[in-house]
Amino acid sequence: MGEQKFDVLPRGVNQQAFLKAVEAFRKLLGDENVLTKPEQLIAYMKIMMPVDEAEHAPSAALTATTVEQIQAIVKICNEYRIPIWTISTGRNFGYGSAAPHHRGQIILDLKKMNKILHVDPELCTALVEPGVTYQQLYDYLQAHDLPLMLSMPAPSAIAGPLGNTMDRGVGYTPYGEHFLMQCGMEVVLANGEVLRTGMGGVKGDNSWQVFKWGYGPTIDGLFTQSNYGICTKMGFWLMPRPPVYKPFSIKFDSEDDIADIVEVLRPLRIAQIIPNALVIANALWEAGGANVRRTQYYEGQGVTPDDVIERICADKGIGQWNVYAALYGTREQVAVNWQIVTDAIKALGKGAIITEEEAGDTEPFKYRAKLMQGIPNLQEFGLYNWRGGGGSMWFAPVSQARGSETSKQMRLAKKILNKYGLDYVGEFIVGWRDMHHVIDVLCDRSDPAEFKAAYACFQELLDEFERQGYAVYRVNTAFMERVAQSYGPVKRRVEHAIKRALDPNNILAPGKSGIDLETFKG
Amino acid sequence: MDAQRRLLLKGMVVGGLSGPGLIGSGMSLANDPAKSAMHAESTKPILALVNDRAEYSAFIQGVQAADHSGSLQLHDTSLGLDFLLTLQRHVQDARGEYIVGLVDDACGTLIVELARAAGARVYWLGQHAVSLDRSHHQLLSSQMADGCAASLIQQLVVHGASCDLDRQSAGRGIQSSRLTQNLCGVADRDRGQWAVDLGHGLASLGRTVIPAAPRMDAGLMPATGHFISFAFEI
Repeated sequence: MGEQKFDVLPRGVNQQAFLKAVEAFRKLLGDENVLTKPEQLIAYMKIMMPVDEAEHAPSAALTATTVEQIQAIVKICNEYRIPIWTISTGRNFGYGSAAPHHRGQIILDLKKMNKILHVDPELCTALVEPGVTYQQLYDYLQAHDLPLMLSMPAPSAIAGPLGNTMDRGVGYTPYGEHFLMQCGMEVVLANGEVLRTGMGGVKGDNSWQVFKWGYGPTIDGLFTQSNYGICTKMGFWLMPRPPVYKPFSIKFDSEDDIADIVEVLRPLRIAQIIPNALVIANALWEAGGANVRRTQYYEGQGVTPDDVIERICADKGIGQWNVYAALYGTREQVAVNWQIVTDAIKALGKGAIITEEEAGDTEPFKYRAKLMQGIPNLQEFGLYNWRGGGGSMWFAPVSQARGSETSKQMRLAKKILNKYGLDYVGEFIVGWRDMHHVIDVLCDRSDPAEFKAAYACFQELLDEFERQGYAVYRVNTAFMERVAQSYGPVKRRVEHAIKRALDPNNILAPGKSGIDLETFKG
Repeated sequence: MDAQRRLLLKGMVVGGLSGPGLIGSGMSLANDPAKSAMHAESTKPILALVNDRAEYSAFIQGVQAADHSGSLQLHDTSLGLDFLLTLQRHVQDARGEYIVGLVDDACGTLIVELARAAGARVYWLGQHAVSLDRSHHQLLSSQMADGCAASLIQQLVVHGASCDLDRQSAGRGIQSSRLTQNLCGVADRDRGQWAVDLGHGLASLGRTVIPAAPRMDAGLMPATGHFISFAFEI
């Protein structure tokens, strides 16, 4: 039997060296955990960005089950200069899916490290491994009848808390800024050492999941959206399930209302009257969540005309803007805050409040209410059917929670998207003082013209927003280097100095967030 | 009604199907030990997944017409969590089964992810955008699905529909091949034929030579819109 010949190799690694590395991985992990055949790798190549799959084809994928195995994997990677791209559940669809940053990287898939290590129902904390999904954790809380609530992003059931938090994702409950609620990490470094952040390094300590800061520099943030280590355990805080939960929606009929909406809601959000990461979603986002397909209303090419959008709104009972928020607490607390909210909307003189009782079983209210209560569901995947064609990239610029800013960003994004024949499908997720303006750049990947247009559109979105002083907080793998440039040369030099210190052989996820010792010319 | 029960009720077991051209293809495979091994694979049970809408009927016709001696089950898919969790359990527990399908983008994205998480061997991923004027097909497949790809391409040419097809074949350095065909005046029945051919090809997985699929039944609705097709083995 001849030696296996590999079709895809890591950058700068030849067949012979790669074969030796693969043999070492097989000895360490067993054949079943070293995937090199095309049919074992095709599913890792399914991407939603408008770039060729070949550009993100992995050379192999590994699955590990223990920290010790990961330590041994990085040792082999250092020996043969093999770059690894680590994923936890790999469900970061509009940000690159499970595929590596660039062709040839080996995927380290931690899906089998899926233990819920600890849940403390009194201190309301959890400690989990990378492969744990929100659904798994939700089922655990239900099975043990624990009065705790999760915060999760929209692909809730199949995504996981560790991966989402490491990418600084957000959810829709009062704990929606996930990295704020993170407490304690275990990280395998490129040299194989295991670091525990916060209080985790203190022998005999039991406050790893309750006190974030520890002593000296706080370094948890360095490991998020970066390639300085492989997170193998993460602690985070869970919200006690409140006695009363009151979700509601506010429907606005004009696209111009966005500025007023933000101005009226910001004070309520900062004062924690509305405590959750509330959402302001536009009509087409809602259409996707309500299972509407564009072809049901419009068979033409290019942008969906305004009159068609108005017809969808009328048919489905959705607004041009739709606020989703919730109140949490005792009956008395919720009653007082409800009065404040309804008074504020009344004073605004526009916006129709819809309660859970009024909405009944209708979508998208139903799935939004579940997300704000930490109940997993997959309804938002309906967005992928709005236009169809398998293309999706999240464009997610940050803005101040100020009406004038949100209005400006919305108009700029819509103008650029429409120029390329694409729809503005967007929502604002409101933090305390900021907003994540999340736009799904949906396109048909099977249409060569639209494929090219979507890529060019994304480039222009980044360029034009940068010119206006905006940048995204997170991006797909095809545009990581470009976005890193927006944040300036000094930050990049610091990031690469840290990379050189922690991972001189550049084996951990080169290219993540634009950090790559081989290509950086700073 | 829970998802398992719904699946059982909607599931249609079709065993021992035989299709046109069986003897010829079987004989040619029997002369080559490697191909014989592939032929033997086709006796595995097949689970075919489609959305519960009329335009998927042509795909089902193709699947049912394929030559395989294992059992065939058809199930509808949805975005509901109960369906996904049931399928997840099935994918994790079942062994030695092919799962093929033609579904919408949302369901397809989720099903392919389940396959990856379960360590399935994925032989075929297709993205299809089909209008009455033209169809676009983007394929990513392995050697095991070569027969299916060749069959689909041949049938697109034979039936004369306008199309663009882009195929990346994993396993030979990820080779790309393209087909562009511009034809007009094609009958509705021919426009819908691609889904019959695709279903037939995916349900014949492992065969290097696949006999021609039957013509789309008169009265079936041509599949137009956006679709994801897949074939994997668990």
